[in-house]
Amino acid sequence: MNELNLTLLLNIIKNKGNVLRLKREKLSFRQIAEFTEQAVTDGFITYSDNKIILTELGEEFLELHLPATKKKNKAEWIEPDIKNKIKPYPKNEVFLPNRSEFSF
Amino acid sequence: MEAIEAILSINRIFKKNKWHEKDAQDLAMEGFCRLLDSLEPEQRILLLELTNNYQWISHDEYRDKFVQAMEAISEDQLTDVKKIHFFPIIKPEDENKVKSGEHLFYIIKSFKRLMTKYNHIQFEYLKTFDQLQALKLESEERLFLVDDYIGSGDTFNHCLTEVAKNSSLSSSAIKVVCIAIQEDTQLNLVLEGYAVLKTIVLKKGITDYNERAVAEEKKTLMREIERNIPGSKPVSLGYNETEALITMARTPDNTFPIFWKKFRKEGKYFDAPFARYDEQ
Repeated sequence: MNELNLTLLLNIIKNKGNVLRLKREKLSFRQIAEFTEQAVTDGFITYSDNKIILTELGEEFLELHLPATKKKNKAEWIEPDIKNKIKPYPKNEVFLPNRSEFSF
Repeated sequence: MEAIEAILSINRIFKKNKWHEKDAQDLAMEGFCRLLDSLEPEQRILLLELTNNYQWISHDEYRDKFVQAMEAISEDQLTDVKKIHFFPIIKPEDENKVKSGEHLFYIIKSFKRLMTKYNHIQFEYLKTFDQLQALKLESEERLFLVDDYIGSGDTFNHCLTEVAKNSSLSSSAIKVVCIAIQEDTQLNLVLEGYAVLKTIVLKKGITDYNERAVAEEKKTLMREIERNIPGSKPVSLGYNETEALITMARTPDNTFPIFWKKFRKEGKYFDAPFARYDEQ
């Protein structure tokens, strides 16, 4: 079991996070389900009465590995929105946009 | 119920029913999970409850299920029979469309040898209402009306109106053969004097599985879900409120629309787990 995915899964369960976060790791829903079953088998979580709860082992694992998932440099995962970047205008300049450029 | 809990539950239903082995399982599984993810907690529980009682009969199971239905007859009922005429359960206006009933003719023709109780009987196939009207049924002959699924009985009744025009066809000489039928429709047919040969009998998905007050609450909840399913009004709780829980080669419109019609949330559409190819 991949450590990053397990950490993400435990974090989703504990903090009611969005399960689609795991889809970003290129997992199919079936893989996510099987992966969750595996986490039950391995004792990281329990599942009964339609409730999934972290076990002590799960809590420890999450505490240990969660910081690593957040260490990422912002520049690595947020792409600059270059197409919407505009040059700042000087304070006293009056800006008159071209009518044909209006999108409304 | 959280989305991840619902995903685990649906996967267990897939495993229990061996749905992961079916051809279109990827689409169905992804459809279910995306839908469950977008539903509210109590709506998820309802969808899972219904799915737990759901039947998914794929095309490659038709042969065995249909042969099984044909064999669900006592041999003494066939002792004196020399010939059986088959006719598909269709509405007169649908006569020229390809329907599931006619497709079953192919199975009957190809696998007659598997229907061991019928070895001594000759099979004939009627394809048009004209042929049906021209039929003179002798005492050692029977008429079998066939379809893969019988829902509210609406199509059957239309077909029966035509059958009734032929005075040589009495209800005692007619049998209905299908893979699956709704329980209340079957009861009506039996009361009208028609014997039904079938493999699966389906209960109403909410009404027949719950106490009355609980059933009403769940129906209200389902209607709330349906507010987010464009075009679902005429088929609310399934056509004629059949509350069916079945997908055949195609999903009948008697099935709750949540299983076969697109769900919309915040302007985004979600494909149904058992989408019908003609649904946009």
